[in-house]
Amino acid sequence: MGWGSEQERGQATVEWVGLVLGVALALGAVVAGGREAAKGESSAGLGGAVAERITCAVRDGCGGERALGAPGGASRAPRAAPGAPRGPRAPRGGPRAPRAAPGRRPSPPPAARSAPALRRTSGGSPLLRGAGELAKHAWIACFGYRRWRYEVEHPRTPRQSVPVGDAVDMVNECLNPLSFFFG
Amino acid sequence: MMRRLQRVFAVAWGVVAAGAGLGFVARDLLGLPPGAVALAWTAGAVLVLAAMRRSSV
Repeated sequence: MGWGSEQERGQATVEWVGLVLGVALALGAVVAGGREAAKGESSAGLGGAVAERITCAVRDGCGGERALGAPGGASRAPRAAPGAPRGPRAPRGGPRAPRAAPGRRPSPPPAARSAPALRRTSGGSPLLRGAGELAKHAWIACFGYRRWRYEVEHPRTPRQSVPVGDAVDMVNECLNPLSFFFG
Repeated sequence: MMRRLQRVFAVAWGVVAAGAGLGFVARDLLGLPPGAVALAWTAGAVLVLAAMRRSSV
């Protein structure tokens, strides 16, 4: 078997690789942008922060002053010094920081939240809450396990998709309580 | 009203998700018999209910 093998099994197309890279970029930006937006005032800044992070990753820049916690650097790329010529990489028309609309109130600071909300988030035994959270997120592993089992039992090329009925069966086996009681 | 509805759905989803989580561990990973799987599902649901109840008082 040489390089000119005609088998398509195990090979990924350029489109799939590009799609995976794009999704990875978007997810990384969501993580970074979400952290930045969480530092800010409201969740409305998440979209702008994500767009900014993607732009920064593509332009390979934006500096590190925001990561270092520079004050007033909310979702803005570094500005050129006054009088300095604008380079070709100046952020023209790029994503901007979300401004508060005239009729919209900014979200209250964490200290101004209601007491019941604080009680809800701070109460309860940590062990019990941790176990509950762990159990609540374990079902995701079921999808991965079922999908892996399906792949082992039904080998297919990357271009072949899983039939809808089989996908529904996987979801049903993982989330339907009846499948656990009577399955 | 919407807050209460959201709370109800959050509790319902938490119960189903936690039951499915422990049920998956018991059924697929440990290979336990159906009775034990049902018990694990119920235990997961009760665990989340208890956690939510404790955290809301």
